[in-house]
Amino acid sequence: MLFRITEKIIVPEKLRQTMLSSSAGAYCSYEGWVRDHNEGKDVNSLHYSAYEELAQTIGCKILHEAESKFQVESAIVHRVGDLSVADIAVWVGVTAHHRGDTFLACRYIIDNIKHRLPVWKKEVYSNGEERWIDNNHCGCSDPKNLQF
Amino acid sequence: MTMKIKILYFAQLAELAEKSEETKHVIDSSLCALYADLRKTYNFHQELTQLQVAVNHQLSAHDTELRDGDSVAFLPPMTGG
Repeated sequence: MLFRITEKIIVPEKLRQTMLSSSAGAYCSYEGWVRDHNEGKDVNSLHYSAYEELAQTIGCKILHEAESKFQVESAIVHRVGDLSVADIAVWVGVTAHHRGDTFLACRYIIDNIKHRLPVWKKEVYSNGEERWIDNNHCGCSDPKNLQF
Repeated sequence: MTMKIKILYFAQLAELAEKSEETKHVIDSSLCALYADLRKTYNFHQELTQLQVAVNHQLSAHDTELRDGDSVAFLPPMTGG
């Protein structure tokens, strides 16, 4: 189990290496990328901030839940600070004996990150305006409503 | 008796307060009273019901009674990922 908040660039190839295990038959990962638009506006960059002490507790809790529920090994790395378009904001890695559990656990983890992890993002637009995003519902179901 | 409370600010609340933390001396032990005071001072937009609360780095109920030396953070809806 690995949970980390970092200001450094996320390199998925390196993180994948940390997941290698001779007992695992499947690996599934998720990368959240900074895209160049949101709700009709051109996005230049994102700024992420975190409540690190609480994020450690909640991040580890999410991983523990996923590992208990799906019999997987799992990891989360979330970046904070100023991110450019195409940067990776969050990485999730999951291994298990079989592929089915890795898909389910990966979805469980990222959906719970979006709803529960104390991290906030501010969008910086091409016209110079900035806005803290006030909800994370776009494209993301409330994990309470998902059947895992 | 006054209590010394450390308040942590994040995201839009930190921007409006123009600080990431401060210490206040309060008499009322309710989170509701504390947030009402901060909201008035810094013009926070959200109602307390729209925010989660962490006391001493643990998510806590809105009716938690504050104690001397506690740290408190009022948390806007999370938007990570």
